[in-house]
Amino acid sequence: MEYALHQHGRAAIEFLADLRILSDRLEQLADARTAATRPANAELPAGIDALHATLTPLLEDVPEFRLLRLCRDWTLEQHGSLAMAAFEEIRDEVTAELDRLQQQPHAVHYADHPPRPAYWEGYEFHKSAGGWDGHDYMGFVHGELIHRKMVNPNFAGMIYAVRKSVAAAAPVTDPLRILEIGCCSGQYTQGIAEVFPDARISACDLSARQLEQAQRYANEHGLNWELFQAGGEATGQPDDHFDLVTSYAVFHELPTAAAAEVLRECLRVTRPGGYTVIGDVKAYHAFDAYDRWKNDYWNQVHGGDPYWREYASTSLADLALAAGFAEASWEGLGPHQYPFVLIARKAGNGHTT
Amino acid sequence: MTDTTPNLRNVDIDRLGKALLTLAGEVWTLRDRQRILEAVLEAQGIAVSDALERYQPDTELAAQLAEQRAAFIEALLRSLENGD
Repeated sequence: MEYALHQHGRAAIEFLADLRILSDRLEQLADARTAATRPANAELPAGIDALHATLTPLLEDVPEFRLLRLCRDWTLEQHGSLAMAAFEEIRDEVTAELDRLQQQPHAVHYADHPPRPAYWEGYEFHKSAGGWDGHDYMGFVHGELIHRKMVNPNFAGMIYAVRKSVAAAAPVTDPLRILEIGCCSGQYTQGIAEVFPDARISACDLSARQLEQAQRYANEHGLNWELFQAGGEATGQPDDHFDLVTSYAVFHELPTAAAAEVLRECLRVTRPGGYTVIGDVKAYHAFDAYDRWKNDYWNQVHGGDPYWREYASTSLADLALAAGFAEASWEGLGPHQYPFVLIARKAGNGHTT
Repeated sequence: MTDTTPNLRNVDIDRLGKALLTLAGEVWTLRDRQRILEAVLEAQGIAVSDALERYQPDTELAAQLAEQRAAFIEALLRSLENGD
């Protein structure tokens, strides 16, 4: 939908987004300043704790690195409240249209007793104030103001293409039914719909507010999505039902035990011979030692992502095979090996029922 | 893992304070100028406060603002960097 931020909210968001991007040069300066003093990659320890013991004091002694951390801490801690403040400036102008887009034809099926797993409840993801549901229009605040206006510029505007690349990597032809686990505000759902325009797409999430934003997008664009409130551990969908079960950027938000549980549910609802395809951030084994430390430092330690390390250190292929899939691979896409994608096939050659 | 290592150590506090004062001075100058501009225009019968709030920059102005914002952020970062 069309909307325009007011001057203060617009300028504040642009300032934060640009500070995040422009301060990145401090990372290169810190890299260069420590290049001669830090051990070469081949000499660095493999374990993440040992890497921190070696590299963290070295880098934190560099002024440019500490300034970079100050900038990143500030942007992380401010972005949620700043986005909500920008929303308040336009609330009276946009809520009628936001509410209208929540009318039919496509509704959200709310759970009577939505699950509240410990990894989700009260969790301020990426240090974003309010969590997933902490605002009456959090789906719009997160999907539009945070993701589209703050996060996407930091990925050079490519974040939606990256999501779509995961759907395009699915080895399925003309799937009839697709289930997305953890659809949030529907950004990956859009990519799935673009890659498979004729498929019937179902999508679930724990967050009612995020589902409502996905619903608005579907209604605005005439997309026949079935949106329902559920966790990936128990979708309530029939056995052997979907040609493709997929998700993007969900598994790094899950502890390993929950990830294994979700994969067992994926297996249950995937049809025999069908695929589960899970896209997410890059695995640690695909980094050299120094970049692995940086990835852990900025995401696990300072990024507000408490399960990042668990995810990035645990083979999703092994988890999928343990769940019962017949075949599974977990590899990075393209020259940068990003994102990482699990492609898991369920045994059998059945057709959609 | 909880990391309480300070981002800026004591040696940087003076530099940080000066940068914040520089920033505060720039922010106040702009607030002062904007309020005077609105008062001047309103005295001439042009009510601009609401129009300013709702104004959407066109492509050219947005590009100018982006360039000036980048220069502003770079200046702020330089003032905080050691040895500058």
